[in-house]
Amino acid sequence: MRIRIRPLVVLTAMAVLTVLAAPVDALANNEADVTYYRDVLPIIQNNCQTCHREDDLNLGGVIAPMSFMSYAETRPWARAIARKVEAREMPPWFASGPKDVFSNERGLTDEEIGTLVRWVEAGAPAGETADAPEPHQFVENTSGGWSLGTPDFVFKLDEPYFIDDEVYDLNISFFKTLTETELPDDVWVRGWEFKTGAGSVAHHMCGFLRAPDPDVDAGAAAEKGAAAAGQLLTCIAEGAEAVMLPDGYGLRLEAGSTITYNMHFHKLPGEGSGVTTQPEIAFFVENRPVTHRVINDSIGNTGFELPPGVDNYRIGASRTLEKDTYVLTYWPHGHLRTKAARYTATYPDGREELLLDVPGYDQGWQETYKLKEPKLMPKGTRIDVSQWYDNSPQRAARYDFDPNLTPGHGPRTDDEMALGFIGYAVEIDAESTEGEN
Amino acid sequence: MQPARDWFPPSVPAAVFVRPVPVMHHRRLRLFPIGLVAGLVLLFPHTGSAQTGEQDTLARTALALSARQINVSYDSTLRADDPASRAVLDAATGEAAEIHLGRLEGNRALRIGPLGPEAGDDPPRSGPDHELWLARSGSTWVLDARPIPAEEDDEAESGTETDDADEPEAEPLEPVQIPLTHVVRPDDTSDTPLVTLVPSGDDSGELMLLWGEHYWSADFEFIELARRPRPERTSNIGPASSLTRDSDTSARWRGARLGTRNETVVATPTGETIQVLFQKELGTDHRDFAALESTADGEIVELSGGAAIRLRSEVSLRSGDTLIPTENLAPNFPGSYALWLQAVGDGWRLVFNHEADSWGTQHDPAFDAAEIDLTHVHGGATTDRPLQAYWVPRRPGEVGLVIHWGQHTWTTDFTIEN
Repeated sequence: MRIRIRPLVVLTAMAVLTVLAAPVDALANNEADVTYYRDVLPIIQNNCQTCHREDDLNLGGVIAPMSFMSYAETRPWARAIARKVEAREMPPWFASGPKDVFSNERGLTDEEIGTLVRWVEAGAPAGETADAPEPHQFVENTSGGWSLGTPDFVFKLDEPYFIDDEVYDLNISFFKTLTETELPDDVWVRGWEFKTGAGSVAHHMCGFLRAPDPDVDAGAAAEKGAAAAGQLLTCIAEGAEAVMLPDGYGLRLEAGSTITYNMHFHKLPGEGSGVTTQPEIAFFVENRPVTHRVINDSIGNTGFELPPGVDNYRIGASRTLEKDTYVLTYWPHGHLRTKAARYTATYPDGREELLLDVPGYDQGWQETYKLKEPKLMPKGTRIDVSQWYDNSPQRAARYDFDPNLTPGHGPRTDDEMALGFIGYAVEIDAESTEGEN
Repeated sequence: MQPARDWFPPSVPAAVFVRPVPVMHHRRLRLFPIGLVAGLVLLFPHTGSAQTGEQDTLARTALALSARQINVSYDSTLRADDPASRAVLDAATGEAAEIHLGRLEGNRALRIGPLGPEAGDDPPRSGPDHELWLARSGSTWVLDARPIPAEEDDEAESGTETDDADEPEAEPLEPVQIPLTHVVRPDDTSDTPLVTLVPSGDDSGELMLLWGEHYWSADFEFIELARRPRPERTSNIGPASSLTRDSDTSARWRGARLGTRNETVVATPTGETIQVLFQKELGTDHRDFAALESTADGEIVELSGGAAIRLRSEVSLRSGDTLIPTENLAPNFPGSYALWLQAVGDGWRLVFNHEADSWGTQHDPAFDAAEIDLTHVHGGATTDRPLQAYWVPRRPGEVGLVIHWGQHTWTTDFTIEN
């Protein structure tokens, strides 16, 4: 659980700093062939600063425990940076394949890694500030804190909610039916972004949209929680990012819809640990013609029982597509015991394709893998999702769970999940129903 | 071995009574604080003897369809040739008689014979918890179901405030007679009573009782109950659950499991359970059934619409020379297997695979553990039966597995290894 290990990461890094800072200081000079401002900062701007900014911004992916926005902030971590990039642990990217198909794929070239390593070996010199590139301009600095830009609508929960000091693990759904003032007409949206308003106490936030239905009482449906909340928008958790759809793709937001904010808070209980939350969902309207309706869903197995003590147990799920489908995103989701995930496609002609392979899953990085281009999968294609679990004492010691438990599907971090989220779209003209598979 | 859990209600002391009918005096029942909690309690009843360490003489069988459960526990020490039993079973005596058989429990939506709610009724305040007496009058057989006094009485009498405190007190429940169809099968006898719960549809099934040379049955179904009106709400707080690190969430795990699967379970008198889970609502109109009909020799039957059939057994099972052991995945853990149907020549085989939580498209032969031949029958009047799997107690220490789909029926028997 990243929330729990983050202090450990910081302490470890500080220990490394304490040991290593002095030699770096001793070696620092401005005459080196590799300097921070000229050679290192561009790499950091392009690959690190998206996350390594001031803590607790709680934007989609901003969960890094330290900031790399200046030389002063970066230099103490120089040796740790070199070690992490050489091991290709940073920037974080957990998929071993396929390569070059995801728009948010992170990674450094060999040349970039070499530059960072040489910089550290040279004593992490600053160089001349005149060599520095222009500071990176983050969209959220001018958009009210939204990383996708200035939204057209922001729907905030009507009242704040206080998560009590005693809370350890709280799953709760809030809901809000949009008034005519808030959303007078139906619109297509192409992007949405969440704010939990609860900092790192938020383990996840899922948003759902349910269109108005005269046969469904809004309150009754909402009281059932996520099960009756309607169309999934997305979920964010630590490491996840906001969603912006490709051109021509949209999700219908109908006037009078009910929004469900399904929240999972997880923290250590204790005096003063309480947090006030008032989640928000921002929408970005698509005014251009929309040709593809987007659906977010999961391919999941909720019937499993994870044996105690085992270190390599597979849980599977599958879906056969009922119509031609354009796949946009994958998001494997599990909890503390989840160690690997894989999506594969078996096409109607029998051909198989690896869609996503995550051999080292870490629930502290809830990555959504976004395809650069929508991937057409014809009707009859079968998507299989496998996830592997490690319920061994060794992993338990690292992630702080009880390996003697035999968890099934459940919302608590100490429970497990085997969900392969998938974002996809169908052509609107081709829809015979709601477009769902 | 981890204890059995969740499937069966507390043990009922076995008692055998034979007495004339009808002689019954019932306590006036006071049913109190039930509501949703009662549904959960009934859906996830506590285990009996295996949890408490006690042993009784009750055999148990349970079936969950769409997360709604029916449980029957019955006395496994009854013998057909005991005088008390013969007084009931022997039609030559001519007198009306009855014998205490066991207990019926289940979800509030259960309707069996005249017992239980009708479609559209408001949810009853409790499930159909009744003692079952097998009763005969002439050639007419019934299960006399007598309400079990609610345990909530003590709490109510102590003045505990409940959510339902303002609701009127429930009317006392009366005994109900469940008609039984009856046939005599001289070729299929059992010295002890054997109860089987057979799923017949997505929401319906049949209770079957075999004893002596008698065979009785009664249909049951789970009714769609009226929903309680809810207040109009348009914003803010919906459902919440606050858990601690030490919270027991096993009932939630089971709830999630039964959200997509149906389940049948039998338990030995010593409390060990044998369970099979199968995907619900896989009908004969599903593409998987069409694929089944064209399964080639050597092929595994795949289920794209559901997880593989899952076996979980707290006892080792034997079929001929083939042992299906417990602890195949972890020490002190029930045997857990995915079950796969395989066409072999003109027949069929059941393949046991260690990847118990595979989807029905993900058979990996590298994890196969064992295989046994199946008896297969194709035919019968019912053509649209969805995929179903259930246990049939054959005789003490023996159990049969039956898998139905459309007109296909596969069966195999096991002995229970102690």
